[in-house]
Amino acid sequence: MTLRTALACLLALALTLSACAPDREDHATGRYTAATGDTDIVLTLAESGRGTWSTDTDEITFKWSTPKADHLWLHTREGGVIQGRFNDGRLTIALPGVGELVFERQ
Amino acid sequence: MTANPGLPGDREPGTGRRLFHLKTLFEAATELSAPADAGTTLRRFLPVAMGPLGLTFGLGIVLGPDRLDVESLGLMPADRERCQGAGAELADRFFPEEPQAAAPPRPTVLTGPHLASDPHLPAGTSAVVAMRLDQDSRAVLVLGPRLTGESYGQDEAELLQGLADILSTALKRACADERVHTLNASLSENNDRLRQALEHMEQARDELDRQAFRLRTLFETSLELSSLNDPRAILDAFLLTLMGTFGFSRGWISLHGPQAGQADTAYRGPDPGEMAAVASPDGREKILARFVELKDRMPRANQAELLDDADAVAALPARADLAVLFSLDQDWHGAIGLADPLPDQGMDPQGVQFLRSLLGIFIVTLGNAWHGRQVSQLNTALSARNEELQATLDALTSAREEVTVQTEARERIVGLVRGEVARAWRASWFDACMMILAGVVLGALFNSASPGGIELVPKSLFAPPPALIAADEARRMAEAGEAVIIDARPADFHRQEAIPGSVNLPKELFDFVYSMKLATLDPETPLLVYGRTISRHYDADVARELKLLGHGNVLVIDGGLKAWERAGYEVIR
Amino acid sequence: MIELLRRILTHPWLALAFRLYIGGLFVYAAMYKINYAAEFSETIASYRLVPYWAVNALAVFMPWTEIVCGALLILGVRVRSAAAVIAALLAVFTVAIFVNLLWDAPISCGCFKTIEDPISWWTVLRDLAWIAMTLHVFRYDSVLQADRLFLGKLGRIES
Repeated sequence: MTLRTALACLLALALTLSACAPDREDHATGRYTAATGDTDIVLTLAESGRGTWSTDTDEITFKWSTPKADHLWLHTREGGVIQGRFNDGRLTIALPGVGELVFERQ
Repeated sequence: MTANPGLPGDREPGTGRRLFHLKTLFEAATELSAPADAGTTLRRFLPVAMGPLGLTFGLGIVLGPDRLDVESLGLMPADRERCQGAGAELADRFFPEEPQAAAPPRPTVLTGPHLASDPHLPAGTSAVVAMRLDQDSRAVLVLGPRLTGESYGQDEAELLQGLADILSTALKRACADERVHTLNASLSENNDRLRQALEHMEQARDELDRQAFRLRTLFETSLELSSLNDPRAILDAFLLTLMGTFGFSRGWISLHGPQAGQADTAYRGPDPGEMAAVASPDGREKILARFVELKDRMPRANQAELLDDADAVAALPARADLAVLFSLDQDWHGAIGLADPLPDQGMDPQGVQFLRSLLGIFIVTLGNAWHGRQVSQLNTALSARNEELQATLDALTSAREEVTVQTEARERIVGLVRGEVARAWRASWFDACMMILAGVVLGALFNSASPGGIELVPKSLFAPPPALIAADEARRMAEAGEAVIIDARPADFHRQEAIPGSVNLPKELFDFVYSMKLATLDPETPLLVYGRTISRHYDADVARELKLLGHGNVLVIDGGLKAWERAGYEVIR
Repeated sequence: MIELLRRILTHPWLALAFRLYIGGLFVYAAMYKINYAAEFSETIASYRLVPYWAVNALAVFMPWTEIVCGALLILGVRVRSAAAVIAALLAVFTVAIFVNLLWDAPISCGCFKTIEDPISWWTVLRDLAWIAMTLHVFRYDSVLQADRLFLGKLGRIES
């Protein structure tokens, strides 16, 4: 029984740890810029999982994660998720109602 | 009857003789005038009478009821003895048993020759004179033959008669004297007896007094002792009584129990050390040893015994001249000692008897008191034991209650444990609720602590209701290009169904989309917001945000998309 | 053959596997929701079944209930109660998805992450499968339970 218990505990620990593991890829961190018409956007992904979305008039903070490889999710404070995708060193972010923004890594 | 030969008689020969006879009579009377007893009178008379009559012998017998005097003169010793032996018989012969006359007659004089040959009389008797002296006494005078051998003449007979009268008179007087003497003696003897009787009476009275005193003492002692309950007080009182009654100036009583140290003692006297000695275990041993010495006389329960052996008395723990041992029962023994008697206070047998009586009272009273004390001690012990028993009972009861409580508690605990264990296997509302509750609590805690925490209650619940605009007015304004219609719903919903020309500004992406699409908009441009579900007031939330960003004219389309559709306006899908 | 199948299907080890799977599933699902409570509240709101004043609270509490029940399932503590709660949650989810499918709502499940494939009948089937597993756990699970380990001895206390 002791062996079984130990096994069960190990399994539970592994599951928990895996669940707790940050779904973030360090290579995504960095500073990205995009220009759409008259607006320049600067996107900063910090290592802490936080990030900023800066325009000429605004600076919005958010959390970010990479749930899948080459996928970037920006988690807004209001509970929204903006999806992005890494493609050939470029980051494409689809903003609802706005369309796709292509960010160049700085 | 012959003439007097001693007188010369010529002219008057009888005169001389008569004179002589008178002289003789006179002499006899003189001789017999002195008081004397009968024997002495006879003895004196015989010579006086025999001489003038010329007799050879004379014999006189006086016979009384309790006396016999025989006197003789000139008689042969053999005859004399014979006459003495037969005196009474001889005298009786001349006094026939006939009733006596009141007054005794004169003496009877018998003469004659027949007398000389009478076998009962001495040989040669010439005359016999019988005299009655009084009722009981008689006298007989026997005269022997005359020297002359002649018979009595007239004168001589008279003389003889006279002599007999004189003798009779003297004898009568002697008898009377003797009677008087006898009466005197008897009187004095009676006096003596009377005196003795008086003395006896005196003694008896004293004895009676003493007896009364003792009885009173007994009574008072029993009264006094019976009024006492404390054995020690009884000992003391009885000791005082004994000392007072029998006159001792020192005394002690001790009562010892089966164990050394159980002693009650009373002591009266000058030496306190004696009291300690009596009460000490050593004193107890000494007293008990006296009991053993008495052997079969050992006093049994409620008995007392006088110690009469001087050695045994001396061996007692304290000085005693009179000692008594007594027992209350087979365990409690005691001794009494009295010493230093007062002078004149002996112990007679009656005193001893009295002492026994006193002891009897004492022992009975002491026994009663002692048993009373035993009973009271037993009662005390009993009540103490009762209390102990009660305490034990209480303890037992409380212990039982405790055990019951513990058993109940144990059963409850076991029941709880079993219930818990059983519940672990089955689904339980309680456990389910606990899990949900745990979720609620943990969620609230985490949410309040987390930087990404959200408001548990939506703002739109308490925020003032937004300004509304009717769907048709909104459409007019939008078609006139005066206002911008904003769809606040999530993008997916907007894509599915929306008002034509509306800008999708999802609440959750507000910052991003606003900065991209509406930041450059004139703040005064009317913004008409729509989008509301049961779960979210998107329109109100976005309108609030827009107002915060400085837009002055933000309106919420009343009824939202549904009102728009109901009004029949077009909707893009 | 059927007997063998039946034995396999009712075997406690199968129940254990289901238990660990479901438990892990819920713990895993809850982790994301706990991290992004705001997103989960939007997900709940998108179902349009909960009144607006309860949405946020539900978004805060439900993930924690899920994680508690999942952890209890994994540990084998109060398995039946936890399985019952999980089954109930799954049932609610299934009903919600079913209703939204009928409404043809353009939403994703939000079961694990915020952005997923839109709900479909497969989603309902998947949830039903999970419910079946949970019921299996409820019915047949008996091995490797911490409860049995610790309470089993207590259960043998003589009264």
